[in-house]
Amino acid sequence: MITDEPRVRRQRRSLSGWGRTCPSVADVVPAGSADQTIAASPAVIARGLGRSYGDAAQSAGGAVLDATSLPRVFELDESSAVLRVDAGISLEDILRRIIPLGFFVPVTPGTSRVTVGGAIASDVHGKNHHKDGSFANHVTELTLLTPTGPRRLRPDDESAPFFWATAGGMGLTGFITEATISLQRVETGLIASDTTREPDLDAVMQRLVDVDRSSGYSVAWVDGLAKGRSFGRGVVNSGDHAPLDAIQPDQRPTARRYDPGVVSLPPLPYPQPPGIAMKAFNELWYRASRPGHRVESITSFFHPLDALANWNLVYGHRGFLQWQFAVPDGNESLIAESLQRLATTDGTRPTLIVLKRFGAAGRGHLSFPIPGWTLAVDLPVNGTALRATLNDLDAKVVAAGGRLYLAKDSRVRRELIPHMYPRLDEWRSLRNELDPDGRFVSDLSRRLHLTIFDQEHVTE
Amino acid sequence: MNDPFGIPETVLILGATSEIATDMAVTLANNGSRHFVLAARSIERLDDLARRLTDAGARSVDRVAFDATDLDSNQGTVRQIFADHASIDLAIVAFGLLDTGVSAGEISAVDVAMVNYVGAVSVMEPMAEAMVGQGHGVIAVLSSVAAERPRGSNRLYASAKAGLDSYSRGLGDALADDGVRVLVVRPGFVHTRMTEGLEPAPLSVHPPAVSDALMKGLTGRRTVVWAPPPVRLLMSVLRHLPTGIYRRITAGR
Ligand SMILES: Cc1cc2nc3c(=O)[nH]c(=O)nc-3n(C[C@H](O)[C@H](O)[C@H](O)COP(=O)(O)OP(=O)(O)OC[C@H]3O[C@@H](n4cnc5c(N)ncnc54)[C@H](O)[C@@H]3O)c2cc1C
Ligand SMILES: NC(=O)c1ccc[n+]([C@@H]2O[C@H](COP(=O)([O-])OP(=O)(O)OC[C@H]3O[C@@H](n4cnc5c(N)ncnc54)[C@H](OP(=O)(O)O)[C@@H]3O)[C@@H](O)[C@H]2O)c1
Repeated sequence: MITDEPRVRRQRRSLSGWGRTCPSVADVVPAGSADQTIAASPAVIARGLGRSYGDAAQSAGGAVLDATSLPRVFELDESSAVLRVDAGISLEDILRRIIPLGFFVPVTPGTSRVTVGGAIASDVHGKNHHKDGSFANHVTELTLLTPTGPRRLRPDDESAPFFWATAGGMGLTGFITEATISLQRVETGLIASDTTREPDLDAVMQRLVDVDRSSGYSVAWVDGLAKGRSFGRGVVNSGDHAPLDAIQPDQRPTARRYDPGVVSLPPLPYPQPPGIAMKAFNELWYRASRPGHRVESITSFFHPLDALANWNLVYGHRGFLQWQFAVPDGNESLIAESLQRLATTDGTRPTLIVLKRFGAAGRGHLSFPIPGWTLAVDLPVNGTALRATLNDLDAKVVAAGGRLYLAKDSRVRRELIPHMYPRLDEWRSLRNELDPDGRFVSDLSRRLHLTIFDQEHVTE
Repeated sequence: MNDPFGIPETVLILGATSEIATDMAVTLANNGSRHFVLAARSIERLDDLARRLTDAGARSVDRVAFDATDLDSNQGTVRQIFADHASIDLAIVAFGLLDTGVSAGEISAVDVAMVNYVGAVSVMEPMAEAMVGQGHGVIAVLSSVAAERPRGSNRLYASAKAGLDSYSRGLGDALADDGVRVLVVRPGFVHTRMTEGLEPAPLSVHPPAVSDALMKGLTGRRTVVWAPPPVRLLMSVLRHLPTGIYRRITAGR
C-alpha cells in the first residue's frame, strides 16, 4: 500500500511521574500527530510537564501525546482580561508574559512548571482555593480532541457535562489542545505577605482558619519530624497581591518584573538522604521562615521549590510519593493522627508537609477539592511498612468522607476510588460517549480501573 | 504495574509446584499482589496453593498446563498467557531439575540441560518480547550459586544454571531501555523436595529466605540477589580457590 501520509515521529522512552517511582515505556508522539495517533493507538494519553507525582501522564506500551509540542497560541484580550492559549504552554511562560502587563493567572499550584492542559486535567488548586476555587472555575472554553472528533466545550452550555468530565478527568476524556482562561488583574508582580511560626498543630490550624477570613492566599508548612510538645509545629504564610502603593517608590518601576531564577542538579544517581538530613531540612525551614510582614516575589511566595529545577532527584533512585487527602471540617484529629502514624512508621520520614483549607468544591466529577482541610505529605520510598500505614490511613480518609488526589497518587487501593469519588460512574458514562472504544488509557486509569465499570468492588 | 514499593499486581509463575515458588507466591499475595497465573506440569497439584493465595487476598488464580521440555508449544503457551491478561507485572521462572539426590537415577543428562537451560530460554524469549510490548515488567529467574562454579557431581545442573544465569543477565542488559528488568536470584542450599536426602551445604536456608531475596530485589534496582546474602561472599571465595584445593573441599559432595 502506498500512502503519502506523513510518518508519525515517535520516540520510545521511559516515563515516570515527578516521584519517579513507577516508570514505564511508551511511544512519545508530538502533538502535531495527535489526530492520527488517537485514531490508530489502542492506548493513548496526554502528557504535559510530568509534574503529577504518580502514573497519570504515562501509558505503558502505548502512545503518549507530548502536549508541550503543541503550536504556541497566545491571544490576550487586555480589555476583558481573557487569555486564549494552547494547552501545552506552562504557567511559568504565561506569567512571564502577563505580569508585566498587569495580569496574573487565576490559580497556580505550588510549581509554575505545569501546563495549562495539566492544570485543567487535574483541576489544580492553589493557595487561593478557599476564595477562588480550582483552576477549571476560571476556564471559559476548551478544545478537546477525542476519538469521536474534536469538541469545543464550555462550562455552562449544552457541552457542560463534557467540560466538567474533562476538568479533573486526568486526561482520560481526550487531548486538550486549547483553552481560554479568565485572568486576574494585578498592580504588581509582588505579594504582600505575613508569616507566623506556630508552636503546634492546633495553633497552625487555628491560624489558617483566621487568615482565610481576610487573605486571598494562605498555606501552612508543618514540621513532621519535631517531637513531643513541638509536634506539628509549623509556619503559616498568607498574602495578597501587593498594590502599587504598598511598594517603596524607588522599586515601583521594577514591580512588574517576573524572573524565576533556576539552577539544575546534574542527573547523578543520588543516594537517599539519611534521616538526619531530612530532620535538618525541616529544622532549617522552620528557623529560616522569619515571622513578619514583607513584600516578596511571586516565585518565593508561590513556587519556592522552582528555584531548583529537578529537586525530585534528591530522593534517590527509589523515588518518593506524595500522599494528599482532603477531608471535611470536623476531621481535624485525622490530620494529627496521620502525621503521628507517618512519623512512627518504620523506615518512613515525612519530609515536606503542607496543610491548607479548601473552599467550595468545583463542578468537575473527579475534581479533588472538597470544603475542609487538605494535607499533603512527601514520603521517600524506603521499605514496605509505609504501604500498610497508608492503606490504613486511606480507609480512615474514606470513612471521614474524604478522598485522595489522583494527580499525586501512585498506590491507593482501587476499591476505595468509588467511595472517594461518588460521581465516578456518571463520569464513566460521559467519558464513554467521547471515547467508546476506551482508547484514552493511562497507567493510572489501568491501575485504578477508572474508565471501566468495575466488578471488583469489595465492601471495606 | 509494580507499585512504588515494588509489589506487582499480576504474577506469572512457571514451575508453580516448586516449593520455593510456592513460598514466593504466598509472600507476594500477603504483600498485596492480586492476580496469579500458575503454570505447572500437573495443575491438579495446585489446589492447595490456589486456596492459600485466595486466603491471602488474591482476586484471581488461573492455572495453565506447562512442561518446560515441550519446546514446540512453549512459545504459544507464553503468548497465550500474556494475551489473556491485561498485563503480567512479574514473571517468575522457577522450574528446575537437579540430578543429584533422591530421584537422581531417573533423570537423564540431556533432561537437565533441557529443563534448566533450553526450557528456560524457550519461555523467556517470548516473555521478554511480550513485556517489551507492555512497556514494563520484571522477570525473576531462579538461578543458583551452582552457576558460579561447578563441582564434579553437579556438573550437569551447574553448567545449565550457568548458561541460564548468563543468558538472563544478557537479557537484562538487552531490555534495560525497554522498561523490562531481569532479576537473577541465586539461592544457596535450600531445604526443599529438590535437596531432600542431600547433606546440607553451609549457610543452608528454607524457602522464605529466597522469598526475602526476591522482595528485596523487587524494590531496588539490583540485577542479582543472593539467598541468604552471605552466600555471595562464600561463592566469591570458592570461585577463586585453586583447583586442587577446591577439589579437595568439594570431594564427596
Ligand atoms: C512541586 C509541586 C507542587 C505542586 N503543587 C500543587 C498544588 O499546590 N496544587 C495542585 O493542585 N497540584 C500541585 N501539583 C501537581 C500538579 O499541579 C499537577 O499534577 C498538574 O497536573 C501537573 O501538570 P503537568 O503539565 O505537569 O501535567 P502532567 O503531570 O504531565 O499530566 C497530569 C495529568 O494531566 C493530563 N494532561 C496533561 N496535559 C493534557 C492535555 N493537553 N490534555 C489532556 N490531558 C492532559 C495527563 O494525561 C495527566 O493525567 C504540584 C506538583 C509539584 C511537582
Ligand atoms: N533447593 C535448592 O537448594 C535450590 C538452590 C538453588 C536454586 N534452586 C532452584 O530453585 C527452583 C525451585 O526449586 P525448589 O527448591 O523449589 O525445588 P522443587 O520444589 O523440586 O521445584 C522444582 C520445580 O520444577 C518443576 N519442573 C521440573 N521439571 C519440569 C518440567 N519439565 N516442566 C515444568 N516444570 C518442571 C517441578 O515440577 P513438578 O512438581 O511437576 O516436578 C517443580 O515445580 C529451581 O529452579 C531450582 O533449580 C533450588
